[in-house]
Amino acid sequence: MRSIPAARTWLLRLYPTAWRSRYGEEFAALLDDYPLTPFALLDVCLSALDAHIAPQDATGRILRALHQPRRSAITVFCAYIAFVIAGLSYNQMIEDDLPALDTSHPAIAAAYHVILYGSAVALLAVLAGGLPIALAVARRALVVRRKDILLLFAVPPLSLAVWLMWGWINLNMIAPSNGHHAVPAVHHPPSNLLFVSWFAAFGLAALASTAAVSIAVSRCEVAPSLFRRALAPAALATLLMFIMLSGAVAWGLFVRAEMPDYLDRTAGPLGETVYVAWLGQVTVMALATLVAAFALLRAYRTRGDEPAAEEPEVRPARYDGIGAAPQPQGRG
Amino acid sequence: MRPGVEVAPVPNDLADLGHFSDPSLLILASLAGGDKHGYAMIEDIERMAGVRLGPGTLYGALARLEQRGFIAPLPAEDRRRPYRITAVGAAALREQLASLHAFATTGLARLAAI
Repeated sequence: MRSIPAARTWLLRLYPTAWRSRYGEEFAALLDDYPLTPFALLDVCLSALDAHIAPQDATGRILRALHQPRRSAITVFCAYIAFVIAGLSYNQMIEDDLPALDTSHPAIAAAYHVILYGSAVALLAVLAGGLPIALAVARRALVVRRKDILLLFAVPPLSLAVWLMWGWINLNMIAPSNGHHAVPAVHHPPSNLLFVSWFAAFGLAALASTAAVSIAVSRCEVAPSLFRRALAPAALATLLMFIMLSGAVAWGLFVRAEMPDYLDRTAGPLGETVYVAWLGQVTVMALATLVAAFALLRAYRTRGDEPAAEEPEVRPARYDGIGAAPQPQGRG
Repeated sequence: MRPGVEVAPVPNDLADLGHFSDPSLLILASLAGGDKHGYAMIEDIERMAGVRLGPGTLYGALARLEQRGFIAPLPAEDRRRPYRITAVGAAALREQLASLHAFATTGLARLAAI
């Protein structure tokens, strides 16, 4: 379909004012000619986001970063982690009420189970796509003695250890009365601060771990075919993210229809209601799914351009202008 | 860098153009064949490389190339503004394509030896 004036105007408004004043007229003319497909919509949305993030240098950093299978695989992985954090927050919010929701509201329970089973399969997909890459990167780092890569791989277990230690200190030294809880109980006001710190520590640990693994994978040269093979599991994980997002949206709509009072309950340590917390979680899930889907679209549209070389050593430094600075590496 | 101001690019500028599937290189290669506006570039690139750029991708890359002085805008024609490759842009494109050519030559020579 061709773009309609209202859609074109809406798309233009996504861009910064300065960008619109320079390119708005001609960009609108282009949109008049360009079929407004879902891909075109995503493309324009990401480009507008890019123009906001890097207004001084409209380089298309986000778009360009998503062009290759390696970048796409890393982007899907990061989006998946963001989705998981939102999902864990959602699960934490409702887990105390699960027995009641499960028995008396089958539609709500069904929506929750879509998320639950989807998360299990998505985890398997991410492991199927990501583990071979992680193992190849670790093996190569050992062979070429890249200590920086190995140190980056040490970040996730270290982060986990620090987070567990923080939880143990919280439960046993700062607030020993909560020691019988697996985690600080969010619904008990005295432990609200502990819960915030516990969840914030988890978020920081996840952020550090995700960044470290992503940097390690982007810095270390491994066979490009590994990343191309990871696209199928990444596509499955992204599809499941969409299904889980649909489940989360359906859950909220069912709750609103069947037990609206539940949405007004206090859900979190900051005093937010279930409705506000759910809205935030769904927003993060939607953004993560959008980013993962766009990365995949980019990878599939450009996969024919990836060089066929399976041995990374033959790639000259100038050839790979995107991503990590290539470093001459021997065979060991 | 503003349009029309031709400053010799530093090597990083050239390297940033990157992979041959990068929109910047595709756009420069398209404009090397003559001045074009946005939609004409999209169609030309699709014919030339089999890649159909999205409108956002195209204009993100156009803005980058214009800021670096690799292309220059021409007067608009019925809301559609054509662009022209500059001397700096042509030099950047030539260097990138020569680099790719050297890479392809080496790769093919090695394949021939198998």
